[in-house]
Amino acid sequence: MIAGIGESKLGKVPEMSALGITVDAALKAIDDAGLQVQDIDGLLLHPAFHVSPRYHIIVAETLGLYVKTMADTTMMGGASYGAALERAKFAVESGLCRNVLIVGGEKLATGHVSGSAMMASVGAHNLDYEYPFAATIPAYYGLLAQRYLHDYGATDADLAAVAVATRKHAALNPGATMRMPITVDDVLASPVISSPLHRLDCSLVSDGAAAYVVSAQGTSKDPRREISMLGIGQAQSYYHMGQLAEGKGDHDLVRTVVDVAGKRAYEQAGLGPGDMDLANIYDSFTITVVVQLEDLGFCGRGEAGAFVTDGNIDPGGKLPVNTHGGLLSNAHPGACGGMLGFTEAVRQLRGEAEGRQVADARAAMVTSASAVASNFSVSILGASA
Amino acid sequence: MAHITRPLPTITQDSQEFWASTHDHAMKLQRCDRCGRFWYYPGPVCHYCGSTAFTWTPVSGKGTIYSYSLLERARGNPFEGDVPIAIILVRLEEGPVMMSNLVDYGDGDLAVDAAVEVTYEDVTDEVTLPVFRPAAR
Ligand SMILES: [Zn+2]
Repeated sequence: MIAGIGESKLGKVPEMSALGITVDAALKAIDDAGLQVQDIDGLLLHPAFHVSPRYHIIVAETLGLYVKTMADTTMMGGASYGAALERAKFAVESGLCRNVLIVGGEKLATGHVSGSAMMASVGAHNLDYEYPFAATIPAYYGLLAQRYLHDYGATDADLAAVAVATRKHAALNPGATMRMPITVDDVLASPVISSPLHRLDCSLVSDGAAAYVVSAQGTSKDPRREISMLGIGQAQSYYHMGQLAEGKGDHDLVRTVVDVAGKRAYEQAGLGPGDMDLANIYDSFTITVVVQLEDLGFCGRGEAGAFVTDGNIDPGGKLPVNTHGGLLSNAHPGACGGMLGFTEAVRQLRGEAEGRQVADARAAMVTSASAVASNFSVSILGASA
Repeated sequence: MAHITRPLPTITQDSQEFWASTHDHAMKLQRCDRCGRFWYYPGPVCHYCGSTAFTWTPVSGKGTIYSYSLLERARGNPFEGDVPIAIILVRLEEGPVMMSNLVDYGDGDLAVDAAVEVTYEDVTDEVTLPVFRPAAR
């Protein structure tokens, strides 16, 4: 179960280092779990843009964690922190660890990595057969989006609807970076980054860190605040866009393998899409949400635009999505941005989400994705009994 | 053709035949000796059946656009000043899908299912990239 969560200041944090915000989030999560630093015996993180391949050890050293029985990295980009949650669950269930700290922090807004960060992100893809053709992350998602529009006769307004709904949630979150309401016309009037994606179809670039502590069920000081991991699944396909587009079986560029991760999570939880009280769906771009809504069974193929436009993912809708404002409007500190979907889901399931609390939230889905919708993690979290 | 400042690929033992063929303006891909399929990108084993027996085989260079995106902003990248750049996924007649660029195109040419044919951009003495233009009608 998740015993504690923490977040650093989000947005622009020029006064602190990347290590500083990372440790800040970690200490808050440990404290939230009612633990001391020395109770932590496992640590997982995604080293992202940090130069050292031993960044997880550097974080452990900084925290004063001399002996760990698990200290490792997950290298799945945005999907890393969902995957890490599953590994932490296995570790506490098997007795390998008592308390696992999962932590990540990046300074994409005010750090030293903005240029090199993009290069490093591109490095997750194909430097020999894609980058020479000027493929950037938005271009990859633009290719996905254009094919989606073609296959289903959808329009860029269908994509824009996701940004509009997400902003409604952000308006309810005092900590969100972008809170001014927007319309579909605003999205379509914002500059094209890589067609058909406009600037407001793209996630923010932020500083920030987040952390959670995973412990065995019933071991924390306040079991009422423990959040269960009801089901978790991962699925990865290909990075290379050509091979991804060729597809296999039921999957191709537009019909992603997130359904495989989702099926595992649903089956473990014994729940289905209609049982989710909210879903924090990884929103690197609006199209990322659109394909996941369909592949996870919240609506039919090609129906996401109508599903979103009809208000289903709005505050108070049938399935509120990204109640914190997501990567599109809350904050997107790189690979660890997906952690903010988890910390928000934990707040909702504890009933601690204040002005944006989803009434009687019992089950929440959290997804994360990376590498152009090829790499997915799906978790279903539950409130304490 | 507008100039694009291109990041360069690393040529390896797996890909030197491919880059030699584009250098000669006559693209070849690996064709599996066992299952007969072409695969892309270059690699040491058939992507479909696992065979390590293959023959570098000329391809027609003809295909259709599977998807496209017109890159208009690319801050922090070496080609930042060269936008707009038309990025395409091309499904070759022989089967594989390649990422490339559409060049020398006009209104309506950048479209899903549009027919395209390969042309070559000599980037350096060693590297020639296969790019595509609208197919001759
Ligand atoms: Zn074969």
